[in-house]
Amino acid sequence: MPISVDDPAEVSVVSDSLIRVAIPAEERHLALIGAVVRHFCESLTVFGEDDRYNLELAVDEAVANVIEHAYAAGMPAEIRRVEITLKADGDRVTVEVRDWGKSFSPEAVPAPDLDQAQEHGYGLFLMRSLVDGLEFRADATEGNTVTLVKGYHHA
Amino acid sequence: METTRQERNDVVTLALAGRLDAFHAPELREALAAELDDARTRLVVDLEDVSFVDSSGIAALVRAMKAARQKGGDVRLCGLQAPVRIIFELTRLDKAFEILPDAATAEASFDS
Repeated sequence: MPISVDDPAEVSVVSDSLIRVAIPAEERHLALIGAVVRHFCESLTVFGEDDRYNLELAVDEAVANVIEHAYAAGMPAEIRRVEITLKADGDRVTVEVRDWGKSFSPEAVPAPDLDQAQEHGYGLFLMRSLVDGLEFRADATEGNTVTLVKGYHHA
Repeated sequence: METTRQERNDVVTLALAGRLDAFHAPELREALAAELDDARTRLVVDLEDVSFVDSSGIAALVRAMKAARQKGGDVRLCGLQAPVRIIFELTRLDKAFEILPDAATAEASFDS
């Protein structure tokens, strides 16, 4: 499905420490999300390369999870959207991933058995492992929000 | 994501370039499934030009590796960039996969 003017991916650089991205819930926009996370972290010079990569991957997993699970096929485009907010505050970056679809229950996902290669189950594990704080909230009016927090690690 | 296919000494190497994420993983999954359907069971995935792998990319690799091993073959990996290598270590997939430094070594590893 081509991107149309009715269903854009939008980035708002609100300030040096606040960026908002709104995308249709489609995997092809993951690259844009990654680029924005990288750009945001690069502008925060104390954020090291490893932390930047880990945050990019954690956010990718959170957004991909929403894209895959939040919306049933056939829901109209104006509903099938994901909003990502990136905030820098003191010594940490906070990323919120919001959707208005079906909420996700992290407790329902079994932890992967790391002694066996498996196809599924690494997404949530990676999210948890790569950031310092992870929260899932479901609210009838506000929608579902995944909040990822990554502190700066001074070398 | 670009995929370049080479066949040498009965080993097929798929060299990928770009992001192996949830958008691109299905392409890789289909490419590997097509090789296995064609009885090409000795496969190498060269990740030298892949800067980013997420859990969908991992799933595609694991799926094909298990299917190849069931047929007496394997999917071996090479050229992992440092951050990608770290993710494989975090998930302990560095123990599940044969990971070689480069394509030539990976292809040769099927001889032993």
